[in-house]
Amino acid sequence: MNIRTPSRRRGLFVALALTAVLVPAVIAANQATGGPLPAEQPAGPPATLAPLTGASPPTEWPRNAEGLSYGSEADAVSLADCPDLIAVVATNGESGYVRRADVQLSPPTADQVKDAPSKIWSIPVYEVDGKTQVGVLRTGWAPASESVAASE
Amino acid sequence: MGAQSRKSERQRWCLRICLLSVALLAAGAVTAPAALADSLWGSWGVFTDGGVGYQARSAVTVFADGSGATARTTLQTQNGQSVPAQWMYIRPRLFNGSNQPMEGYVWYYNPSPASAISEATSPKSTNHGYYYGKGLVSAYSSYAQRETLWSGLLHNPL
Repeated sequence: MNIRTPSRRRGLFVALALTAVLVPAVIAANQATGGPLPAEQPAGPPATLAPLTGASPPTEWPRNAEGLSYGSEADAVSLADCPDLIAVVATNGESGYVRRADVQLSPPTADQVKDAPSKIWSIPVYEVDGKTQVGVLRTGWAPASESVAASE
Repeated sequence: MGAQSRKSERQRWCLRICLLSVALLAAGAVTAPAALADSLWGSWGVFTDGGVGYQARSAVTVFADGSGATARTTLQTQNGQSVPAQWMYIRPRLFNGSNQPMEGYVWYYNPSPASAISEATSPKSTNHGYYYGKGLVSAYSSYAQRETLWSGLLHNPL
């Protein structure tokens, strides 16, 4: 026997009303905090990106006890100007340095890609002494996940 | 007639509950994106390499679920022309407010003929503070590396 009491109906209506109010509110909150990227920065003519050829004077890097230079890649004026130990944050969140020789600083060559279309490996992250390991960092190459074919 | 009416009312309620479920599922799908905030895209920087004009820029995103932040770099030909596979290379890089690279030692390339490629760094756990993206780009013609302009500086309040 199916008896619908007024209180049960009232409960269902309350649930429906709450849903009607909450769902749009949640969507609106999400749109306010997330949503698509903002529009491009208004600017004048686009800047020209010059090759990192090291035309500027090389950076005066500090050196550790072993004589290895260290610092941030962001301060280097060219690839060749990068210090021996490059400041990074390891995958575990520890700050440290990777050896320049360990990092894939240049794009892979055609032969490298032919041999291995995707190759990502971990390299050690050291303290500034270049010996004490504090973590690891990923380096290598891979196909881009977003590649747009020309419309022609 | 009473039984028929109750049955039809039951069916109406079933329909309402189904619609409600669909609405809730749809709302869940809409709210799934977890971006807390996105930086402005950095302005386009342009260059010519091997006779082809390119433009590149970077941006950074902080996720609301605490998974961290990513930096994205995009490289595209200026007139939409296609270049061969393995021609465009990008290395998105995420920096913190102290100019320390947080993530970004992996190069990405176009696996097939394309007019544009885009890639983001793996999400990196971040604390509150400022973050920006500044990728490296290169074309096969010369392999010369160029830095994109800075993305907008993004504050992570978490």
